Order: sequence, then C-alpha cells, then structure tokens
Amino acid sequence: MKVQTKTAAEPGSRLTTGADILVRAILREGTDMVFGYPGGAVLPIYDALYRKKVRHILARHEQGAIHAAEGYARVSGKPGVVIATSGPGATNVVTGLMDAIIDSLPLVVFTGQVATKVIGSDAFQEADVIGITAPATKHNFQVRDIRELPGVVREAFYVASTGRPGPVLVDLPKDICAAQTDKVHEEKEMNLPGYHFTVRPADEQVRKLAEAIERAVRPVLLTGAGVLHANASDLLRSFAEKHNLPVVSTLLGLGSFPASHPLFLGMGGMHGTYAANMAISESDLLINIGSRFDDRLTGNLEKFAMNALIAHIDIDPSEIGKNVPVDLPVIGDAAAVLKRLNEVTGNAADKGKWLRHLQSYRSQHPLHYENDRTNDGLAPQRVIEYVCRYTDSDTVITTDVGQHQMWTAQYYRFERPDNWVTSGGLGTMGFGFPAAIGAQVAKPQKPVVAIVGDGGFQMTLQELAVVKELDLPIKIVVLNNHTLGMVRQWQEAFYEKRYAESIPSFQPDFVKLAESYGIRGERVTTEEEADQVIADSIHDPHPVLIDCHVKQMANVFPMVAPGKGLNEMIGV
Amino acid sequence: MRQMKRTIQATISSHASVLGRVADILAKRHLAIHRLTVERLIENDKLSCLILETDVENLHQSEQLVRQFDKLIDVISVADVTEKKLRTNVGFY
Repeated sequence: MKVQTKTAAEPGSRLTTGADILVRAILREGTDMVFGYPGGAVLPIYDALYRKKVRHILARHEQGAIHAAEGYARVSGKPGVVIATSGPGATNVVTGLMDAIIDSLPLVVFTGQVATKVIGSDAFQEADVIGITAPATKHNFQVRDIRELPGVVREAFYVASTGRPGPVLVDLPKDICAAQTDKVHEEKEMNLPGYHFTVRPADEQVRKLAEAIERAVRPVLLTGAGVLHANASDLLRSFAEKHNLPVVSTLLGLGSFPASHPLFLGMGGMHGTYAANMAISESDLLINIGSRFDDRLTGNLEKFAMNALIAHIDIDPSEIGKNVPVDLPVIGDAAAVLKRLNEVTGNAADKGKWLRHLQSYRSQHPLHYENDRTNDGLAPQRVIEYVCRYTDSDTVITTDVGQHQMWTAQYYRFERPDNWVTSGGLGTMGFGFPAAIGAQVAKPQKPVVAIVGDGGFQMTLQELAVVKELDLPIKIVVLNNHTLGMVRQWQEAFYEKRYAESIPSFQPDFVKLAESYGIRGERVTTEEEADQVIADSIHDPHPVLIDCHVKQMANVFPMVAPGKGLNEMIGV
Repeated sequence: MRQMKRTIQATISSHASVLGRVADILAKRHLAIHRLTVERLIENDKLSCLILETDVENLHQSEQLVRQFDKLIDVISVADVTEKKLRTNVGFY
C-alpha cells in the first residue's frame, strides 16, 4: 500500500487519485449524471470529472442543484447525485436534504471538506457538515481514509435507495480526494450491521387486515407516496377494484391512482375534496398505504376517522402509531403487501350503499371557484385547467408550495404515477423550478411544466441559465398574483386582513427577465390570452415562461381550518 | 406534567458522531438525558454499549424513541430496558 498526497496522478502512472476512485464508484452505481457546483475543496473531484464521462449539470446555486436532483429522483426512481463544495456549498444543500428526507427521495450528496489535518480548526470554508446534516439525512459519512472510499460510496447508494428512500451525504476532505494510491480494493463489501428493513410483510399482519377488509362496510383506501416509491400503482388499482374500495390520495400520492377512475375521491386533507374528507371521517376501516398521517392530511387528530379501525401499511416501522394510533399495522413494502393482500383476501361485504353515499357527496360538493370574469381578472384555477387541457397524461408537473400548489393538486388530473413533483412535507419555496430541470434531464422525451408562484420563483430563478444553456423545453407557468398568496390568505382568514409583508411593492418583469436569459416570455392577463398562449406554447420545443397575472385575492377552498376536523370544512 | 423515567440500552458503532445522532433524537423531542454511559464492548472493539436514562411523558413516547434510535444506521440494536435488570459492567446499576 502506497499513499501519497499530490494533486493529480501523473500520466502513465499506475497510481490513482481518491477523486478517480470516487468517480468510478459513482459510475459503478449506474449513475452517469450529477448536479453540482465547483469550489476549492472539490477541485480534485472536478478534475476527475473532467477526465470521465459523467454528465454534470452546472446549477447556479447549490440549492438549485439539489432540488434538481430531487426532481430527477422523483421521476426516474434513481438516486439523484449532487456535488457541492465545503462550507457554504454544503450549507446551501441543507434545505434540499431536509426536503428529501421528509418526502423520502433518494439522493447521494457529496460535499467537499477541508483537509483532514485542519478539520476542527475553523479553516477557510470549513463547516461541521456531519453535525449540521445528521438530522437532515438518512445517514451521513465522512471519509477519513482513501481505502474506505469505494465501500462508502456503495453503502451510500444502497442506503439512499432501499427501504424508505432518503438522502445520504458523503463528506470528502480535500486531501482524501487528492491522495494517490496504487492499491484500492474497489469491489469492497458493504458493512452496515445496523441497517435493516422489511420488504415482505408478516403473514399474521396481512391475515388480520384481510379479515378486516372482508368485514368492513365503509372502508376507504388512503394512498401515499409509499405506493409510488414501491412502483405499486397497478397493484393498488387491482386491489381497489377487487374490493370496490374508494380511494383518497395524499398530496404526494397523487398519480398513484388514476384521477379519472370512478373509485377516486380526490386529495384529502386541509385543501382536499369534501368527498375525500367525509369518506375518511365516516369510514369504518381506513387503510393507509405508504402515507405518514401528516397533520395537513389529518386535521385535528381527536376528530380524525373517529369510527374507523386504522390500518397502516408502511416500510418504516417508526411511522406506525407516530401520529395516529393504529389497530392493524403491516410493516412492509407497499408492492409486497398489496400483492399479498390481493392473494389472500376473499369476497368482501357489499359496498354499494357506501359508494352511492360518497358519490352523492361528490356530486353535491364538487371543487368549485369564483369566476366573475367581469370583475377582477383571471382565475388562477382556470390557468391550471388550461394546462391540464393542453397536456397529456405523460406530462411531468412540478410545483413549489402554497396556493398555486394546492390549485394544481386540485385541478390538474394526475392519471399516471411519477409525473407529479412537489415539495410536500417541508413545503419548500423555490423547489418547483429547479426540480423541473432535474425531471427534464431525467426524462428528455416527456413534456415538463413547472407551475410556480411569483414568490417562490424569485427564490431560485437563477436556474433559468441552466434551462437556456441546455435548451430544456420546460414550460414555466408563473401564477403571478403579486403576493405571497397562502400567507396573505391566512392573514385574511386569521389575522383580520393585516397583510404584513405579504404584498411586496415591487416585482421584476418576468417576461423581460426570461428574455434576458434568451428565453421566450409571454404575459397573459385574461382567460382568452391564457387559453391561447398555453395552447400555443405548451408544445414549443424550447423553453417558455408564461407570466399569468391572476386575481390577487383568490383563496384556496375548500379548507379545513387549523384545529378543525376533516368533517368541518369551510368553502365547500 | 407527569414524567416517567425510562432506561434505554443500545449497541452502537464505535464511531465519531454516533452520540450526537442519539442526542439529536432526544433534543428534537425536548427530552433531557439524565444519565448516560458509553463503553466499548470487550468482545468487539468496533461496538459500544450505550445506556441512557430520560424522562418521557408516556409509554408511547418511549416506544417512539426506541423506534427512532433503531432507524439510526449506527445503532445495531436498541431496547427499553426499564423493566429489566441490566447486566452490564458499565456500572450505574
């Protein structure tokens, strides 16, 4: 074993650098694309990337890079890979790590670190990245020996993409990547004695749930992102159809069950449909598959599904009973559990009366919005309906967080899995646009539409440079209401219309902004313009930004106010 | 608020930063550590035995703590051992 510390291996030398070992290890995992931003501590890695065939997407901010990697992971099912430098580079990815861990997205993030001998000395661009990111990652590693590199990379990809997916960070001191060695065992075995997860459910748990399904007369299925992570949409559909089970989706679960299916009741929760929320409230058996009973879904826990037996299927045992007491736990992968349930369940009780009852809720209380065209301009919900009308079911839709996100969840009809990319748990402004970049490079043939608000877009719009550079045909639909809409809505509802800092006095001209990046920009202010411009531009082979000036005071309804139960919706 | 004293025992990797990860889980739930020992295992120097004592609000919270500890990749095994007589050479019992 011979280890030297030089900046790069000399030509013809049998020595290899830590950075070269790293890049080979990344390629070995089947990844040929990384999102990143260079800097001092990762110079050896970028030097190795320069020599290897890895496609590098140069974001204009590390937050843009990691959100793009999240979008890539969500639509491709493969881990998104990020490289950021030490110190500020690493701290700039923390929001994305937190976003990915709460929404269970597989990422492998490599951060540069100062040289091992100066770690702990407050060196230039040093940050305690392991300490900072421990609560925001499924696991993190700091490599202290070049010989550990291949094994750590393999473990990082394995942990990120198995069990409940999540982000893994590998912190790489500069001297480790610059070091040279003539002997590294690159096929090193993984050593993760503390990492375990259950894919196949226990027979006893499945049997108890099957019995409950056969007995239930008012059952409802709640489908979450776990169904998507497990590629279990087809199994979910056959299960629901076999037993005539009505289906409610979480925000992140949209697309796991076709929106046009007669058994689909829509999204549940704070801005869910009346039928979905009443189905949960009145059910006698709630079967949660791969959702974590988030507070935006449950409303007041004291009033949540009060008459129901609660079944919870999840690959993460720590989710069972975390928020809602569970009568019928099933630990396992959603696909494995649904497959087993499809095998063992027999004839269930007749649900005709229950389904007719829910259908009456659906027809009596559909989603609706005010649209007085003579009065105050373009309804934002109308814009979403046009996007839905002019795109096919293979289109990827991304959003930030806020009103535009809820209107998209309500009015865009998701028919297929893995076409919906949104920031659910963390609610990250600035997520949607860079996520669209990641989705587009993962699926170059698919149409990709980023629906964003004027507030969130201004947090990461520097990534317009990437869109232009790569000529990505993303359509950016800005629902521009000149306000931080959801903040303003809550101030209207709960703070007596004191609009503190939610209506900025200035905003840029988004059309000119797009044009300054060499991107086509369009502005629409009426229904007619919105209809025409969206129809005309959605299939443009180049990027287009559509600045939609919509009603400032439009609110998202229906709504479950904070502290209320799902059966206490307003605005139905 | 009524508090329950619980004792949690875990086998952990003998790595830097493991204790921080364990402490993060308690800190996130605003739980203080009242007693703590970590000792490397005699039979395997890559592992250590961790025993900690904390006050929880109820058994549900204690169960959740154990599940959160178990999610840590550096935690090999973990259990609430309040009801058991600990056999350890660590020594606070």
